[in-house]
Amino acid sequence: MAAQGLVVRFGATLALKGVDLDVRPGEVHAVVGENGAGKSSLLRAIVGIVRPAAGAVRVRTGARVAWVPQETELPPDLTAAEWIFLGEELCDRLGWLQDRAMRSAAQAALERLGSSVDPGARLGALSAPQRKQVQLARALRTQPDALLLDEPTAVLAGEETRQLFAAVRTARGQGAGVLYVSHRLEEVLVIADRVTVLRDGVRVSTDAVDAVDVSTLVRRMVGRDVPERTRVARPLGPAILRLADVTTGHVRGLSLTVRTGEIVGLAGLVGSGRSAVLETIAGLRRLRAGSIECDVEPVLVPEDRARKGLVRSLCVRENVFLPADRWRLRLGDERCAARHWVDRLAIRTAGVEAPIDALSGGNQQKLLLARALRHSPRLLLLDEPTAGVDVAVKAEIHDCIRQLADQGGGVLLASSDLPELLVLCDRVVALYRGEAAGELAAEDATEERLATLITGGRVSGAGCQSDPRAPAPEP
Amino acid sequence: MRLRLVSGWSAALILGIEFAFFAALLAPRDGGPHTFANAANVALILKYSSIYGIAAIGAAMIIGAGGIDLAPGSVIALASVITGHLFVEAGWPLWSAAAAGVGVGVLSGLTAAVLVVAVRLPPFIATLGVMGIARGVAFLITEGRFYDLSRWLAAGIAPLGVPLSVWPGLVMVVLAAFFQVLMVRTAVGRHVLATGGNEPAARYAGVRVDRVKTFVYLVGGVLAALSGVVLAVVQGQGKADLATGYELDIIAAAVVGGASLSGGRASVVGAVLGALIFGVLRNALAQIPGGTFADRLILGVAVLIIVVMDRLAMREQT
Repeated sequence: MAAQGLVVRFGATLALKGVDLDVRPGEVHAVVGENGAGKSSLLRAIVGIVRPAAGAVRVRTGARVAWVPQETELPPDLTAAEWIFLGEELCDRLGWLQDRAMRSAAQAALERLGSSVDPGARLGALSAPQRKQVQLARALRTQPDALLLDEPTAVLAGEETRQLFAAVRTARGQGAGVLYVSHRLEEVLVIADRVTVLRDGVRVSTDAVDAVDVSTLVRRMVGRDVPERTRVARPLGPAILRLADVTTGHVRGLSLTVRTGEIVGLAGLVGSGRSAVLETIAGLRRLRAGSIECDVEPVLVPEDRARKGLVRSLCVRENVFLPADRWRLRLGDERCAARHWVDRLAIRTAGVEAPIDALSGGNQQKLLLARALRHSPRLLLLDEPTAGVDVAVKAEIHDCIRQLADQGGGVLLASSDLPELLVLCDRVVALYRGEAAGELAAEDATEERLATLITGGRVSGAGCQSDPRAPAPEP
Repeated sequence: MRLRLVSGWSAALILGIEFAFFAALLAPRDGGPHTFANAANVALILKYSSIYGIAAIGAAMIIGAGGIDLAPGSVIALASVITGHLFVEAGWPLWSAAAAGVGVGVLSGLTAAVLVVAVRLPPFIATLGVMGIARGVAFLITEGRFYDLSRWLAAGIAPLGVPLSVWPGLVMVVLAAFFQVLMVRTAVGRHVLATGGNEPAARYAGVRVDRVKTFVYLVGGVLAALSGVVLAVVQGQGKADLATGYELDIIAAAVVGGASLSGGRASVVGAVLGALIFGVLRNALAQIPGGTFADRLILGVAVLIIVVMDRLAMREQT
């Protein structure tokens, strides 16, 4: 499979300015780049969703191409098995559907990814990572000759990622060519054979992975050096959020506190209940038992920005001002304030009246953050705030979070990205199957220890908080 | 060339072209008075379009919020029957009878809202039920009779100094202006369109979507009932089989006016213009020999052409 001189245009902007790329059978070719560098556009041009303005895509005749897009809305009422076989249903000679055969084949495809998703489960009832696994299972089931993966691990946790890599390696072993788009450079270096860097719609380089390292890639992606940030200790104030024996969804008996100026992490695998905790604090889910004491108005930035975050039919400004502050709108004031936030968070958009679809994923995420920050929250609840976001934007988002804590705000951060939790959080609470598996102070936290806790292992020195009302030690 | 057709604008453009077309087509050959393009006929078009137009305002808001309302036709009939019954049989004053007729809309709107918001029925099913109930109640009350209000209304009455025949169009224009401002310049409009565009996202952002939905169904019910009352007073009739099938014309008016049935997009002014486009078509076809027989066919084709044109214009923009 090869692309030659691809040019893709969206309205006035050129997403790709003549990109050459080839994927050989039996290799994993990774494409990395910042948000808006043109990675997703490249994939879409290759599968034919967008028509290139110039250039050509050549795929070996008869090759099966499977594509897993970064974000998709799936029909909520189909079951996982129905989706995995959609369009390629197994039928007997009379045309009757072979449901049982499809279910077991779907189950096998899911198990190969280490997924516990029931093939009979409705897609609407699945979490974002589970839906991603179903999508991956659908793509891998057909044993494609070319496999295009767009940010496949953005919503996956460590163990799920390892399983995915095993499946990708198997596909490669069977001669498939894999085009792998990701923001996670460490991952790319592990899974890929060759890596191409895109910047502003132009191919910067293509190298064998042995020839590059993370800092080289980052420099090429950004065009400059990105300073490494480390955690800075801040003075902590009184507790503003106290959870005592909280039971909601499948979360049981969770206790934790967040103090002013403190960033507390919530680590956990898919289905560990991270989102349920945040949504309950924000008042979007019913608290079944326990108590939540919150001295300030919490502001939630939800996960899954396409589904729970942004309204596509509204423009940038209207999405920032949702809900509107006042009954009678002042469009001039809104425009002004929206411009301020677009500048402040360096959101790349044609203007504040531009449609959401014209923004890349990272810029959409920043927009969602702007909506929350506009309320100058004293307690910010963040759910996967950097899923599918490139390193530079990720650093910007991290700076915003730190800045809020510096100014005395409390932050509760749920993330499947363990390094992210380590650089940001003063304390990390690990969840395992809906229960607190332990709590690590920043000094004691390492990626290995966190990974052990969230997979149900034990770690010394990771005591659970017994009584959230007990006076916190002086900073 | 790129035509920037803002929803609402395109409907106005179509209405203008349509009017000019029929004015030319129906121009008198012998130099006599124009039977189509004259003030009296325009007033007539406004009067008859208002029955659809007033209800289409509510339909646009409901569709914008991601819902659908099948009840307006029956609610129009029931409101006309209640108004007629109270005025003719019970001897109520006209204003009180009319207010009771509008009350029908409050009830039907709230019923639909409860079914959609609390019982979580799909709007199509919920309003299908309300549609059946309203029509059924109207038949039970009238038992096949109809109320002749015109006999009891003094000829040439002019409530508040405005001639009766001008009222429907006036009510429609005033309501269109009011709800257009509400949808464009207040938080209500943004929350309605956000709910229709992406309900979970609106909810996560803090929009009280249940309130929004209750509000639009209530407005939809009240406006449908209001057009029923207008129909009863202006036509002088309260009848159970009035406005049969109007719900689809009303939805069509909203869609022609730029509402997207998948929610998130709607225009109040567009919906009223949509109703006027159909009103002009009906009025003109009635003046063409044999035209009335073709009107359903032409209306159906017109809906498709207008919506397809709008889609093409949208695609051009993106």
